[in-house]
Amino acid sequence: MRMLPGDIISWILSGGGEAVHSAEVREALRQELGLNDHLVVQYGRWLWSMINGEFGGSSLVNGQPITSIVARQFPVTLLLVTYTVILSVIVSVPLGVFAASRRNRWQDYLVRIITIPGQAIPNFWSALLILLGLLIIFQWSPPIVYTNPWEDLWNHFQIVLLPVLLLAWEHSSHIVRTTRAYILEVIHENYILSARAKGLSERNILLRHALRNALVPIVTLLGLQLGWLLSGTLILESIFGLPGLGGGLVQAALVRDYTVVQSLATLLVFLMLSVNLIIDMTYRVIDPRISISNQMNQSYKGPKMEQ
Amino acid sequence: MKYTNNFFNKINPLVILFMAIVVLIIFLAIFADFLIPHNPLVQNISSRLIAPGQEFIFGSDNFGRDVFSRVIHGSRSSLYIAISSVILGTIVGTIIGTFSAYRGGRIEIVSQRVMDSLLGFPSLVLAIVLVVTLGASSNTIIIAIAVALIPQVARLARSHTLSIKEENYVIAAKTIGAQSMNVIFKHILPHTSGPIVAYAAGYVSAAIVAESALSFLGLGIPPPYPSWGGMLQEGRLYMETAPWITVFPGLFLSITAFSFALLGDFLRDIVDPRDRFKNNSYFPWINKSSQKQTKNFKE
Repeated sequence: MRMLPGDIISWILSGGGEAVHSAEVREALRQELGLNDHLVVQYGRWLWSMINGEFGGSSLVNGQPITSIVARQFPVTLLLVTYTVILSVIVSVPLGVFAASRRNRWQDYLVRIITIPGQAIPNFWSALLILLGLLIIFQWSPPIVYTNPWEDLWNHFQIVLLPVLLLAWEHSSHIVRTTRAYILEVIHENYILSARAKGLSERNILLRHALRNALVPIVTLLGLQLGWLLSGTLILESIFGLPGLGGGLVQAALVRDYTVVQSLATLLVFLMLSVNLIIDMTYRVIDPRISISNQMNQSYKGPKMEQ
Repeated sequence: MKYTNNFFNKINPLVILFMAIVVLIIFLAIFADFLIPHNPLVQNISSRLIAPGQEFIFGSDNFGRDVFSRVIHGSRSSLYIAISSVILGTIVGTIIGTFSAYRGGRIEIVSQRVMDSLLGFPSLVLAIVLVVTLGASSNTIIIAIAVALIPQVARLARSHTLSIKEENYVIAAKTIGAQSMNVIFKHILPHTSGPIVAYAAGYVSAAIVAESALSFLGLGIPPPYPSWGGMLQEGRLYMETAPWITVFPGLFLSITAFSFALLGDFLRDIVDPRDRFKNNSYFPWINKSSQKQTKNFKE
């Protein structure tokens, strides 16, 4: 973490610009920030502050306590991720089922054509293009200052709309593909055949029998995709100027604010792990054949479908 | 070769097209110096922000540099970083995965836990932390991207090794007293390398995007050296007046990433031609219809 210790000192002293300071001034500041201590001591101090509730102490650049930084930034990212996940699940699962039920007809091809760019085009480029397009065609650009939904709902909606749509496009492309593939896989199982033989309607078969059994891999994918989603928020937050964890992490990384980077990265990992834990627990709700103890003993590889 | 038959069975015009694009881009990257009309680094204030035309095919940027030359040159750094990071990550991941699975015991447990904790990081967050730690240079970016790949490859190598370890020929080789290095390199790796290489090839496109994302955030290759992500970042400020600075690098980036992704899918398809609709011996008519449908099913 500390291989380039000179950077932060010159950053603080020069206020971002170019300035020359004497060695004594630098040395005094280093002493004050505790950067002269042994690395183990610094790390120990950081660990201790994580435990005792200071959450990594304070920013090296402006001395803000990290707890207040996180309290300001965390809701933004959380809202962004929540909107994206809700939107993409609402849109993409039905779309995947629809594509599977119309397989190889024009509806299916249309869905596939929509999803391919979502996976292929890097989101920062499409974000720039869309911003440019909106500016040229509608003379509209999103508001600059972020507000929380409880302060100014309309402003919040405007600024959050584009990043959420882009993230949801990327996110749901994967879900649509997986949903379609697994529906097509289970549709050849014998229980679907028996459901058909009972004379159930096609809609009933797809939703109650096929989708229900395809849900486990879809939910697994949601957990796996979360890492990509967080990486995506990181980039889009900095493009759209949202004051979230991702943008904060990038800013801190650019000025080498070590403590903030450490704490925010830890928080993001924690977020990801806890979501995956929740997903592991929902398996049982989705598929009662899975028992919790079974999961503990061996890694879970999807429902076993006996012939 | 083991996979030659699959190769000729699966190939189609679309794959050939994207292979051609990949070959073209690699060609551009290698011979960039001979192909570009202008020096990508020399600044010339008198030719600032010129629209695409005769002299500057893709226009010029805010420092008067030729966007076309920079895009072509950018392909070199993108491919160099993406391919080296994938090679590095694959080799390290394969070693960790294969050895831990082969040896078992405490080594396996420890390496598994380390790999699991690496998997817990969102890849870009891990890369940013590493770049901050080691400083931004092309070598650090290679390491940062490779570290995200290592646990995935290790996991793959481990699962394949675990199943091949129990094969009779491996047990026979051990019985006649072969050294474990010998067993791993002569009997295990030849069988696990196919899926690993296919997975790694699929990751090249993700590595290209990751490199541009890092450069875009300002944590990648330091300016003035051209990289697609860095060009997008620089062009952002001039988007209204000079959209060509952002449009062309992004276009190249998207096409390259997409072609590599499709090629990776194709390779995976050759190596692991898993038919998603396995033969259903009880109901042969289902089997027949499903095989017909499988042909158009890209996965």
